[in-house]
Amino acid sequence: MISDRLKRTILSELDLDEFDIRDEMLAGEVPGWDSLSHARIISAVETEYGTRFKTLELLKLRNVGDLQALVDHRTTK
Amino acid sequence: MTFTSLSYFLFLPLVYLIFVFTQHRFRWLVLLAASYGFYATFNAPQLLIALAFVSCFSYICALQLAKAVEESRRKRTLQLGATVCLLALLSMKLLPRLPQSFATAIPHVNLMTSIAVSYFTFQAISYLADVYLETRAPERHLGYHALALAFFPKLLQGPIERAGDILPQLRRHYEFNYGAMRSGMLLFTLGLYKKVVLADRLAVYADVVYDNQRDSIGLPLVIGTYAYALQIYFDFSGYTDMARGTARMFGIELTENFKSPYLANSIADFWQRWHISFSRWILDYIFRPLQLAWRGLGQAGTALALIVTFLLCGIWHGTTWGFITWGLLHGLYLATSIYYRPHQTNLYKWLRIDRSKWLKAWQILITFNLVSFAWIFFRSQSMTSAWYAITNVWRLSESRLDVFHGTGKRGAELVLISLFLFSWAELDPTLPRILHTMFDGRLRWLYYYVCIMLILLCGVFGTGEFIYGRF
Amino acid sequence: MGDSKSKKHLLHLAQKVSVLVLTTVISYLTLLLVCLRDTRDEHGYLAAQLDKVELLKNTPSPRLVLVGGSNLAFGVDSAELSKAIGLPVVNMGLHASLGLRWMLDCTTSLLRKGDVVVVIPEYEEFTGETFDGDELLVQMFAFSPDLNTLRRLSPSMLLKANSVIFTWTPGGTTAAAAGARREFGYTRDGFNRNGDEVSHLAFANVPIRSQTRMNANLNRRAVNSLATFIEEQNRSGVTAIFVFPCLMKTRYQENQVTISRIAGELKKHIPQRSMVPDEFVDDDQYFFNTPYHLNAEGRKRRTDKLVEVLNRSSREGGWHR
Repeated sequence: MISDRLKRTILSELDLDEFDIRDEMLAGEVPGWDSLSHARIISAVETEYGTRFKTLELLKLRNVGDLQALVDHRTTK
Repeated sequence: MTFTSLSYFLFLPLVYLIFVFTQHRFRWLVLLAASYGFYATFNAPQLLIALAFVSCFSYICALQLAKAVEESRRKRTLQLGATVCLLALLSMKLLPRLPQSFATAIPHVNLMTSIAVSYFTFQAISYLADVYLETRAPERHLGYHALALAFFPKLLQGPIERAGDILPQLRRHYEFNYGAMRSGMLLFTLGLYKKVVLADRLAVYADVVYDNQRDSIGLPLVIGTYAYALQIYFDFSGYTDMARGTARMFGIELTENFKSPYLANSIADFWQRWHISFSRWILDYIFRPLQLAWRGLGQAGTALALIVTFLLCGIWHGTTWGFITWGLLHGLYLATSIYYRPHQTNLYKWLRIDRSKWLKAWQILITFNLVSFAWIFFRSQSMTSAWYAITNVWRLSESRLDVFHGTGKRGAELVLISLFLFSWAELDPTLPRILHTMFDGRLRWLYYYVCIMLILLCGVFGTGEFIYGRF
Repeated sequence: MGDSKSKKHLLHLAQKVSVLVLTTVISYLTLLLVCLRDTRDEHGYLAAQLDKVELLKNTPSPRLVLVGGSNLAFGVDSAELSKAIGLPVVNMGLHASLGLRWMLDCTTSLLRKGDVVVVIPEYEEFTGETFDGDELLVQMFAFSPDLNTLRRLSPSMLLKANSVIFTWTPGGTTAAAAGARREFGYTRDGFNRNGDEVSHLAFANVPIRSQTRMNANLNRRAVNSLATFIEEQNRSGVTAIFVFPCLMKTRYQENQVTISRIAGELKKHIPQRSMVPDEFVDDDQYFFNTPYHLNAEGRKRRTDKLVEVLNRSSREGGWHR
């Protein structure tokens, strides 16, 4: 389940009004989220949750669900 | 031996027959032996050693990676593996540059065969990274692992395969499939046509201009550059088609490497269509780590990562200023696009032309010209001649086409007709459909005959130069 | 292979493919032959080979035979050479693309005891595959369809000759007959009675286009074959000598490394003293239209040099005239 907070962060960074983001979705399936904007979105997520991810953790992400899991892991510590 | 050597047409059926009549358990051995034999025909034992070394070393490293649990140990194993593979690559590239006394002892290798070292090295590194990131379990059978790296259809010019794509296919039980055989042979024939009829013929025009740049002013420089842009596309994609066609006969589907790159509507789009396996590799293993490492710099971080990535890409082709400039240009194209893209999109939306076909055509035209401009540096023999080309290409009114004297009108007509047909096939599905019905129908063997005769008659096998003037 | 039905399919496919291959090969060869016959030009440059062979057959021994490519055709004054050394001269030089191997074959059977054969091949004969000849040999076959030429034809050569078919037009083209022409053309009539190309002497130098570097792959087999030829000829009473060709200075400088490697290899196998490549390098101004073809002035200088070299060689090597 992608939290509303994460969803909002991603959509606002991509300048999208509404888009249904699901766990198993890959980055490329979200309009505008490509390798060029990837870092921007990650930075926005980091700013939103007040945390900083390790590059290695980010490289292991396979889909948006992984990102949510990573965020949850960080925020519940 | 390359795909266009006559000996390949004896090699391939022979290998196939042995493969088909061997038990499944030993088929990997047949292919592995054939692949090493194929590579051995280049008479450069140092390359075979590099291949064997990279295969064994990456095999061992991957197993170590899987065994290790501690994060720092895993990281170090990965770094060691990647570094050693890269060193192997570097040493093969630097070998010809050793002092004369050493260099004469080492068999001379041309560019193509030494580039092969890059492909299997990159594939090995991507394999190690996949094991590290736990997206894949390591391959325990050394034979299959070695075959995944050495498989002869993709050995010389890729595509660079992901372990997850190729290993399961190699392990799969092969069954003779008439459709796959036919499709493979047709794809091979298409590739052969692209390479031997189109690319080599375009090369005649490109070479006439680029080998004697100062003889050309204005229009010939334009024609020569466009000819080169098309030459390199047909050469490379033709070779890939031949690789994929060959592999298909053995039941292996290699990844597509080209998806109509000159129909790209931006440079970013271009790199998703050109040499796809390679650009994916540099995206995943060079660009992304850099981009994430520098994300603190915001947009500038991404821009910098792009420039560095493509600079490395240029250097990988060769250490001349021409290649470096080419890489740098692409890096700059992409880096600047990060800044203007959002504004550009908004502008088009505001002008309500964002879905216009004319806009799309315009974008394709601009992209093609940007790419062709970069090719000038790639192809020119030196920076001075590249500079000459750029400064003199505008003098269109002074153009003299006599530089093409002796290259033949018929060849040019053939190229133009072929280009027209290829473009038509890209944009409109009726042509491929017509071809499919032709090749499925009762007269299909007649069409096969026509295709092969076309290649035999129209292919450029000699130099195409005016023969008497060669010495 | 498990399934017998698949085996049958495979066999079926193999049969069809074999038939296809056979049909295409036969079609191709037939077309090639037809186009070669049709484009055979009695006045063309290659046709001069017929005259040269006649000359070689009819000139009484002892004579001096020059074997090599167009560097000889365009670069030797045989009449002057003949006067200086006192032997009739037959200039067999035609074109390097025919391959040194074929050139040697041609002359071997026609040499007689007491003859002197001077081999002056282009440097490229010792690099890459030039020694075996290329598609020009296929065109030559149309003029001299003998066993000698036939056995030197290879499948790749036959493929490379497809330009004859591709550029074929009904009615054909023939080289303009010799006569008043505004620019130089390669024709049979440009040769004189000794086998020298002389029609080019009347024209001014043509700007020489820059050429690709010489192939760096040394062909050791070519050097060995030449050495064997020289040895065999010497044993059977024919004096055989090797001399370096005359080359344009800039081209020599661009390819110095490759040329010195060639010279080194030649020196190992051919026992000749005192000859070095740069003895035969001359300034660019003496060359007509390629780095090997000399104009009138350059040709004179080269012929004088050749006389000097041959005199030196006859003193050292003990062959008499």
